[in-house]
Amino acid sequence: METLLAAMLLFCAPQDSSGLIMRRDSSMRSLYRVEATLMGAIQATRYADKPTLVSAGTLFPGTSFGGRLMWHPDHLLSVGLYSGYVTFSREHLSLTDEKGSPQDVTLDLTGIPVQVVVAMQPGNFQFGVGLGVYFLTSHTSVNNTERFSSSDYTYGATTWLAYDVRLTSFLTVGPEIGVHLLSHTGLTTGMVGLRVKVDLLTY
Amino acid sequence: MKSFGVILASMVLILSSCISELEPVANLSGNADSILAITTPIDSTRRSIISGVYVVDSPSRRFGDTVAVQSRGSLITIFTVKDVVYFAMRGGLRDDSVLLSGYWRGVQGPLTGVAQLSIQPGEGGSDIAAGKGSGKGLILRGEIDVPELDRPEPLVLRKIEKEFERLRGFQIIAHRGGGRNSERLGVSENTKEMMFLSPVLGATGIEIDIQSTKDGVPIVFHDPTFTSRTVRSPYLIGKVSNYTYKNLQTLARLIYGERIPTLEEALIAVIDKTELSMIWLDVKAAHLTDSIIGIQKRAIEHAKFKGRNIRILFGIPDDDVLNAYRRSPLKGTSPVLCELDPHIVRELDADVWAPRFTLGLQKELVAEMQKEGRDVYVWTLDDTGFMIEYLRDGDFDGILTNYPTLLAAIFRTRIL
Amino acid sequence: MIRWFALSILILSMPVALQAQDSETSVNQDSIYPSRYVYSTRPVQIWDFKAAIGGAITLLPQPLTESPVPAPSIDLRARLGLPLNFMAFGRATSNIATSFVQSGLAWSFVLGDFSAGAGWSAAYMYGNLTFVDGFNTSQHRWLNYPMVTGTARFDEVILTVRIEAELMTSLTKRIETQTIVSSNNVYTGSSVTIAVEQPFWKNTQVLFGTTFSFSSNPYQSWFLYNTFKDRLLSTEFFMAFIL
Repeated sequence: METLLAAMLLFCAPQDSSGLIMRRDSSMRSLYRVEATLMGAIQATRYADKPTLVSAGTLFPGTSFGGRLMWHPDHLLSVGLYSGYVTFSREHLSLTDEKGSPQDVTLDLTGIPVQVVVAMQPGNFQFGVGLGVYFLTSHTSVNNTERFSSSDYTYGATTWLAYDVRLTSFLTVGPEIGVHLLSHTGLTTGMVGLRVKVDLLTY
Repeated sequence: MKSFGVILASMVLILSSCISELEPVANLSGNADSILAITTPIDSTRRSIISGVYVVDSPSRRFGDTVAVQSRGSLITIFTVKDVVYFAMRGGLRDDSVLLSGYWRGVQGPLTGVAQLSIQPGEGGSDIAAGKGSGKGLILRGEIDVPELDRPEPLVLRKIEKEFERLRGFQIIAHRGGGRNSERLGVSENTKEMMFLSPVLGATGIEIDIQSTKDGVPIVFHDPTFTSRTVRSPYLIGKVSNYTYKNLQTLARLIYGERIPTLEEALIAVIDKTELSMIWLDVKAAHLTDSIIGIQKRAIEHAKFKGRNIRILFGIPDDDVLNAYRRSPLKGTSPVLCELDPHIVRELDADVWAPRFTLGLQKELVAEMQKEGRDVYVWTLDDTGFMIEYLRDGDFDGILTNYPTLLAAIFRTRIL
Repeated sequence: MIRWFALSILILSMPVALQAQDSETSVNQDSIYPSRYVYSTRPVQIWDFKAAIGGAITLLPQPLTESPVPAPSIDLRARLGLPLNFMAFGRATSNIATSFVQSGLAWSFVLGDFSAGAGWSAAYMYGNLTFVDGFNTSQHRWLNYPMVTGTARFDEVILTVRIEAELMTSLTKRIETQTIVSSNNVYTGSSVTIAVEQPFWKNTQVLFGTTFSFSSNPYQSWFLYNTFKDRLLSTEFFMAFIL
C-alpha cells in the first residue's frame, strides 16, 4: 500500500510540456468550479485475518459505486464530499450450530462512506485523500430462511488517483484507482474503475 | 492555505492506519505431557507440603526475593510480585523426586518462556514421597528459558514457611472471568476457558459480565457492541442485542476462537469444574434482571446439590440495574452485591458493598459495613504499589483485579 | 510504523516542494521566516519572542481504553531567540483533568534551507480527578525530553521534525490518603513530531502537526493507571494560530 501511495505521489507531480515542474502564475484570475464525479469500480478486499474460521482466505472481490462533489478553485487544491456504496466481501459458508447441525450461511459486509475529501489536480491527473465514517452493514442469511442484519459505523480513509480525458467542454471520463482503509475493521480495499466527471457550475 | 488541506488530510490518512496493538505472546507448555506420563499425581497431603512461601536463592533477582507456590492436583503455580510473573507447571512424583514442566509468563507484557523444575530426594523429595514434614527447607530447582538469553537461566527456590491465610477469608477476584483480552493469556475474557484458567492464576473468585441477546438470553460478554477487540469476525458488527442467541452460536467466535457462553452454562461449568468460591455477576442488561436472578438461584441450588460452597452474587453497578432490581418481584430473594453508595447498600440489604478503588481506603465506611455483617470488595486494582498499600492499610474482604497472580503473590507471601 | 513515518515525510514534502517551485521572485526569506514561527528551531534574532494558541487532541492507546477515546486540550506554545543560535521554547497544555507544562533549550545550525540541532526540555504534569464522582485521585510527574530536531524551509513554509526520548524522573500517585512515590530515571518511550508552519490567511500564520508517541506510560491517560509494559502508540494532533 505504501509503495502504491509513493508511486502515486511521484506520478502526480505537475509538469508542463518541457517536463519542468509547473509554476503557479499569481497573475491568473481565480476560477471556481463545482464538479460532480460518478464512478464505478471492481475491487479486492483484503482482511488482516480470515473473517471466519472457515473462510477460504483473506481476499474477496467486490464492487463499489460512488460520487464526489468537489469545489474546485483553479489552484492545486479542491475540497468536497464523497459517498457511495461499497461491497467489501460476500461469502457462502457451511457452518454448524451448537448442536452440530449444518447451516448454509451467506455473509456480506457493505459500507456507505461519508467523507470530506481533498484533491490535487496537476494536469489531467487527480490525486485525492478523504477521511470520514463508513456506515457498515453486515447481512446474514441462514439456510435461506433466516435473515438478519446489523449496522455500526467506523472511521476510515480513502485515497485515489485518476486521469481525465475531456470529451466536451463540461464532460470528462477516465480511469480511477483507489484504496479504502478501514484499520479498525482490519481491511484494505483496492479499486479499479471508470469515472465520469461533469462540470456543474463555473464562476 | 492551498497545501493546508492536503497536508492535514495526509496526516489524518496516516492516523487512520495507526492503531496501537499489543505484541502477541507465544503459547508455551514445556514438555508437560511427557512429564505427566512418567509421574504419579500428588495428593492433597503432599500438596500442602509443597505449597508455601519460598525465597529466591538463585543469583538472578529476576523474580524478586520471595514468591508464593501453590499446589493443586497435577498443577503447581508460582506467583511473583516483581514484574507480575506466574509459573504454571505440571508434573508429579517419580520415585523420591517431584518433576515439573511448564511455562512462566510476565502478565504485564509479552515475556514468556519454558520452565523445568524438580524437587530432588535430598532436597525434600523424599519427605514429599513419604508424605511427612512441613516442607520447610524444601528446594525447587531447575532452569527457565529467557528470551534475551542464549542459554537457560538457573532458578532455585527454597521454602521458608507456609503461605499466609486470613482467618476470616479473603477473596482474590479475577476480572472478566480471569483477565482481559489485553492480558494475552491465550484464552478470551469472559469465557468458560478463562474461568477454568482463573484458579491457575491464583483467583479464589471471579467477576463476569452479562449482556443480552436479541431474544433475551443472558450471555457472558462485556461490551455492548462487537469490535475487533473481542471478536475475530468483521461480519459481527454493531450491538450485541442485534443478534439472537442462535445467530451468535453460528457466527460468533471470540479472539482465541471460543464461543460466547450463556450465563447458565458458565455458572454450571464453574460449579462443576473449578474450586472457585465466589462469582460476581456484573449485570449490564437491566431488563434481564428477573431472568438473571432466576438463573442465579438455580445455580445456587445446583451448587448445594453438588456440595459446593460457592457464593453467587447479583451485581448492581448502576442506576439502571438498581431501578430494575427495585421493581423486580424477585428482589431480596438472592444474594446481592452493590457498587453504589452505602445508603443504597443498606436499602437493598446487600451482602457485599463494592466501591471503586479510586475512592481510597474509606476505612470508617468499610468498618461500618463489616459491622453490619456485609463484606466489602474493592475494584479494579492493578497497580502494585497501591495493591500493597490497600492490603497493608486497608481492611477489605476482597480485591477485584486484572492481575490475580500479583494479588496472590502479595497476599500469600505477606510481603507487606 | 517506520514506513508510515517515511511516507508521511514524503507526502508532506511534496506539496511544500511544489510551493517552493511556485515562487516567482526570490526574497531573502530568512528575515521573514522563521521569525514568524514558533515551533521551528531554525535560529531567529536574539530576544525575538513568538507565541501560539490552539488545541491538541490525543487518541489514547486502544489497549488501555478499549475503544477510541480522544483527549482534547488547549495548547499554548512559545519560543524566545537567544544568543549563539540558542532558543528557549515552552509549552503549556491542559484539559482540566490533565495539565502539562514544558520548557527547554535548543541549539541549531543552518545549512542553507535546512537546519539541524539538539535540545533538552523538562516538563511537569499534574493530573487531578477529585471533581469527578467516584474518583479521589491525583498524580504528578517530572519528565525530561532530550531531543534532536531538523527543519526544512520552502520559502514561507517550514517543516520541522523532532525526535524526543521521554525520561520519567519522578512519579507520585495519590488515592485518598495513600501516596505512592517513585523517583527513578526511567526511560518510558520516545516520540516523533512532524509539524508545518505556514501562512494561513493574510498575515496570520498557522502551526499544525502530529506527534506519534510510543510510551509505556502516556501522561494523557494517567487516570487509567496503566500497567502494561508494552510501549503503546498515542497519536496527538495539534494546531495553533501564531500570535
